[in-house]
Amino acid sequence: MSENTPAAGGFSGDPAAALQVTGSGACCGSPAQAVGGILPPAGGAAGADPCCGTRRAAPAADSCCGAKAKADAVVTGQGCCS
Amino acid sequence: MTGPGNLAGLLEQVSANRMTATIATLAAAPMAGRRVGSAGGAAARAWLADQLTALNADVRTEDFPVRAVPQVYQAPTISWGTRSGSETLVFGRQVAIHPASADASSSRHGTLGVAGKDDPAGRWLVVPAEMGLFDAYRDTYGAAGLLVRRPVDAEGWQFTMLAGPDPGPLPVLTLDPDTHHAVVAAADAGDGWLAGATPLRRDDVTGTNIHARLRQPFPGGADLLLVAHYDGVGDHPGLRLPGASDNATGVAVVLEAARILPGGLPDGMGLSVALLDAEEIGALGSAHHATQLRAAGAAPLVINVDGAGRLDGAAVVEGGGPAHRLLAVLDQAGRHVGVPLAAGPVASDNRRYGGAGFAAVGIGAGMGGYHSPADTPDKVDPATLAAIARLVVATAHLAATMSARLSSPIGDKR
Repeated sequence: MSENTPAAGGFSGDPAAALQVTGSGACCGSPAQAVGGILPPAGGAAGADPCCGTRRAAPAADSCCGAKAKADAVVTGQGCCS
Repeated sequence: MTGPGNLAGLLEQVSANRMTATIATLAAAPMAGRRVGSAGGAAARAWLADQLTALNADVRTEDFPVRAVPQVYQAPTISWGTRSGSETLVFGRQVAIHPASADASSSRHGTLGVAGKDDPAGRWLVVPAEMGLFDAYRDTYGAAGLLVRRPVDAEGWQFTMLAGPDPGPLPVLTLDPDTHHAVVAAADAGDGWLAGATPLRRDDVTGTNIHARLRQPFPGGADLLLVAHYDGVGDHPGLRLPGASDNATGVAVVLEAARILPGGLPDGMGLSVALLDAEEIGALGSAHHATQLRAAGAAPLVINVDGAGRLDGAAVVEGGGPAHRLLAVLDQAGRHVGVPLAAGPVASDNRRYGGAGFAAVGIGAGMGGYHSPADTPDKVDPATLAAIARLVVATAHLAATMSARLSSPIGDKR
């Protein structure tokens, strides 16, 4: 299958991207991701500090949350570990 | 025919009805939400062991200690009011006990104040939405407790967490956004009181994994390990948390694959199942198992299913350890059975195996009513169950038949 052909199944990109899930070691964002704060991160992309800290810190540039987790944290008004 | 070449024949055996029945059993009242160390967890374990034994598997269990599992031991009665009236809050919806709360079995009555602003002595301090719990603790000496905002799901339930920060010195209640807003307004106006208890104890318990060996691998041959956690956060007094999507669905998928695969894999391909306990308190069952596997010098390919309730677009996949080849096989399987896959976080047991150096993937395909009374069997989509079971069966089959031909473009190193 050509890379330009949308796949009915499987990964649309490189399967190895699943080894570099950004920010999945963070604890902020949706509750489903909260347990990630006490689990080892998926890869090296997660920040060293697993928490954004406060609602104010979550939108800040270079905060530790992954993009999805950070977006969830901002939308829901949550900080990390709260 | 169930030979190794007959993947289509294996996929035809996948039964959504059988998986739906498994979920109904695990989510039923006698299982009580399957909290680690609970009678409901033991009931689920006994039933699951029977299911695996019926597959002619070699079944055994493995205990491990789990410390400080939070448990609400009494439905709290929480009321609050102003000069113009009062109300009793609905447990689970308007109010819940924060996992970092101290245990306070008797009711505390205090006037309302704002954390970081008002004198804490004798007050229930409402924490502004923009303030974290750690910041709120800075000036709380003598406070009755803290009140924290907590979002609710689409059905208005707050979620329950077992894993979380260590308990602090104060009772901590979580309020839904509407109640929190009203309480903040009352506290700002210097008008209001709250009375309530936080009956939350922490028990040291025993977690128990279930292990089943269905096929022995040849020496040095591929050995597939299918895992899913069977524990849940557990019921509260008067409040059921069935844990249907999380993770009766994952268990149902693994059981279904375990029923179908043994007769359809080539000689030399190993197959085992681990149904894990204590995921909800920090993936402790998988941590225990991964340590054992390392000590034994094992090298399984691990597939973890955490949530197969409702596929929304693509199933989320997270890899760990030397999983390039396994991901390539999963990709092939996804194309074969028509299940789209997307890289994303699956913060679950797969991380323990990947962290221990094993090729591991976690698959997530949706949860309804996360950790709330809304996580019921009727929210589970049978088509999603069938799709994820077919994905797992195809992955196992392709791993067996393609392993000799699959080379990693990057190279998995152990």
